[in-house]
Amino acid sequence: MPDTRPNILFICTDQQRGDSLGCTGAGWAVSPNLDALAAEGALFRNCYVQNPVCSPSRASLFTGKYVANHGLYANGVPLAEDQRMFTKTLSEAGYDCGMIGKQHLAPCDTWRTEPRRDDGYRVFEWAHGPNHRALENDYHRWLRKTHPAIFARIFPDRGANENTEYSNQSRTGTPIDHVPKEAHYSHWVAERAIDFISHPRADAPFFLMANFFDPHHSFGAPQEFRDMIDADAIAPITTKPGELDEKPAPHRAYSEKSYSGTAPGFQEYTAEQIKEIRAQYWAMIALIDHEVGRILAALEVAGMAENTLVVFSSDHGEMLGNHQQLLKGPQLYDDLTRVPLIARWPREIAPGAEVSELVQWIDLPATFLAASGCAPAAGGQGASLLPLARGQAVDWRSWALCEYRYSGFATDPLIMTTMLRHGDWKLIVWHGEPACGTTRDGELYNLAEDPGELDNLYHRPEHAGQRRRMKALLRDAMAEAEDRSAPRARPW
Amino acid sequence: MTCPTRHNILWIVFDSLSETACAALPTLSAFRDSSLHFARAYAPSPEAGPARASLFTGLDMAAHGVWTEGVALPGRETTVAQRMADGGMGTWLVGRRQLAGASHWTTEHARPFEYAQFDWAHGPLHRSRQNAYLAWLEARAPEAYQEIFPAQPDPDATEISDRQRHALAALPEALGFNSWVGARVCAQLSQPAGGANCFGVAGLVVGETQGGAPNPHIPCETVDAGAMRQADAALAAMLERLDSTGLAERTAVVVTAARGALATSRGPMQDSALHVPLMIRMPGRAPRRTEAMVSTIDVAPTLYALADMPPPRRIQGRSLLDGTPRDWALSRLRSPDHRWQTALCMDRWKLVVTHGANGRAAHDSLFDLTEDPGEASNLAADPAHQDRLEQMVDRMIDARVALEDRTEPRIAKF
Repeated sequence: MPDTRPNILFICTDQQRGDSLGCTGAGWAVSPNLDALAAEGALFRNCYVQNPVCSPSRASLFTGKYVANHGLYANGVPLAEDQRMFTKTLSEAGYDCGMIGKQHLAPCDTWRTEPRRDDGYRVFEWAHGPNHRALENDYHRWLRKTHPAIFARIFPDRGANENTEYSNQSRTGTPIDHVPKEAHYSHWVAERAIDFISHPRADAPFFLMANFFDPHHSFGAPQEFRDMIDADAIAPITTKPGELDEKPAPHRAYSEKSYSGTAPGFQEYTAEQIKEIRAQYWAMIALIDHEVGRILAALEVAGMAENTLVVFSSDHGEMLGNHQQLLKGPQLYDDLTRVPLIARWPREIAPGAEVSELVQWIDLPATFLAASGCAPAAGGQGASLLPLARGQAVDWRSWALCEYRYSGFATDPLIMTTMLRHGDWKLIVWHGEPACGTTRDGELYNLAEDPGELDNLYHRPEHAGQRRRMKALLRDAMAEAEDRSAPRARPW
Repeated sequence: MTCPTRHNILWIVFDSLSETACAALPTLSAFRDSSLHFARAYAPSPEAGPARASLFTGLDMAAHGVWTEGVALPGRETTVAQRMADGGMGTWLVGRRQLAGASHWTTEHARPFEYAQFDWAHGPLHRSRQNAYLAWLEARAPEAYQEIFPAQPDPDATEISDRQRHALAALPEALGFNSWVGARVCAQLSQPAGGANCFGVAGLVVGETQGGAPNPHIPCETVDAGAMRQADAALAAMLERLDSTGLAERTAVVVTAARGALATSRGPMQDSALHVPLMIRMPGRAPRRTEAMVSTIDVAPTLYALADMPPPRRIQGRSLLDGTPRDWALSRLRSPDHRWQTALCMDRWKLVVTHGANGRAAHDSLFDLTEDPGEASNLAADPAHQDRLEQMVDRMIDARVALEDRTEPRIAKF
């Protein structure tokens, strides 16, 4: 009997806001391929990640668990050995698995090479980022071979770990961001993905995760893509005078400096510079879109488009000047927590579906496993999105949770925040003792009336009832999110 | 072999005993007055399995993963006894352990190299073929044994009849379970230690079920008065043996309970079910009573401190000897057979949340433990206490976050 299981192609970008595509509200975006992908499949309007920075969010993806249960609570913490990745399950079920680009399930600063895990991949072409000088950076190997002059110009030495925070410190794009597109990291991801798709194993469906580093800062793109963006057409930043006065105090610090005081902050840029950053951000998205178009075309050429589940998403967002902030951190605005999510599978999902339910990143591995016919992961806490994508009536959780546990650069005292979205409401708790030494505070937004999250209702007496109801729901959601996967082998 | 530790440790673990019940026991109350007494110690769960897993690992249920009765402590965790043995101490256990489900007369195994001597018995009415107490009883008093258990146990017929209960209760004191525990501990204390210090666990059983099946409708139990008296006498025998052998001068004695016991019909989060005895008698340390609130997840790190051993990386409690008690305690009930509840005790206040589920709304109870130790008056609906209630809700959320598993070290910035 022929294997009718679908291929799964997961295209994942890094630091891409949920509202950054043409089909999600950015009329100025150049995203024809992704907009078409959404039109041909299902577009999820409210997808939330479980943590607003890379490594914890990706650990939730690979394990299907909330942050507290996989234990990778901060960048720089390795994912424990006993945490199983869904790719291992797919591989054991006969899938031919590959990973290209950035993964980040282990510390990657200085020159660290991310170690292989029991991950199930046949193909593992790893590069933490375009400026990351690990000797095993596969993008650099490729660049050295295909564009030796460019490589020699940008990286004239044999590697230097002072480059570690080079792109974090950079106020503009770095040289590697502006190389011609044929030499760009995003092009390399697409090249290698196309190669993987074009050489399928005859006897096995595939799972491929193609990880773009864009539109992660530093903010720079090849000139031909910058030329596609009309900076004047981009909406102005979302803020209001005195905004920081009604937000929890750490917001001001994250406006003055990014990354817990270690990287340039919004307030160190002129309005003109912020405008250019935003233009470069959408130029990066235009580049991603171009390269995604090439990958999808290769899928078409290989005759596999019909029975391939293509999912496009991102590990978290980017403040991008909104709320007078840049990059990411403990802020749990939609800017950071809501990401794009598109699922196309012509054989199963009707074109043009739109899903407004609150879905979470932990639902993605459950979706991949369900599509492949695998049993749900032990300890997995998400649910397959396929019923929602098919428009089926399904009993769905009414909330989304995002938990920051000094996950970005640490501060003293440590900062922990938790977001609960429910209906039109959003509660953000800035934790205090006994969780951490920060002064306890909160944010409450009505997203129906205030989608930009400008008016913090937390301290307004007329909203005390709503605030308390959201706290009661948060207690229930946190209890629900606990790990009860250990088998109850005996009744007592 | 050089011994890195300063003390022997005798750790007496009651199954179900409330702090308030100790006063009725003469030996225990005298011991309490001669020890470092934590008068406000709380268990992390009213269920025995999760609470014992916390006691033996220093981890909250959020980390050790034993979320309800019948769940075994996952293999990734290391118990205090394993580390003590690893550190060169002579380890032994007498009586109950309960780090795995024990229903259907299940035998519980020690972990590799956990106990050099493992006199395991879940309770007098637990008919595992490896029940060391019943083997002892059968050898010591065959007629009495035959009267209680005339036939070989059928693991599918785990009912204990009233006749059996009465026959057990009618045993002479010296043949009772806790007397056996006491006698075995005394025998261990009298053995030459060969230069190594010992880490001994005495698992006393005073709960009404006596190792038989618990009531499925109640996640907690009451105590058996006879078993309590016997346990107190066993404690007296153990302390006497420490004195008579001269071991008392270099032995730390820790007494606690995995969980409390029901005193009223107010449900499993009532104070008596969570508020447990916690007493530490150390050679050369003056007795002291402290009202600081602590959790029994702090016991394991305290044992490491007593043994002069560094705590393992995977631990969440903090040593009770370091002078900075946590001042709060969070307890959870997550049994699939009961409505979930979470309780936070902090300062004089106790918040009990009954979680919303299946369309049923959550509801709160707020008690002032100073004014109302019997928890008779729920202040949650009192308009004068709404700010206090929200403050306790905030602290409960923060306490929940504080207990998340962040034991994996951060080894780099990103």
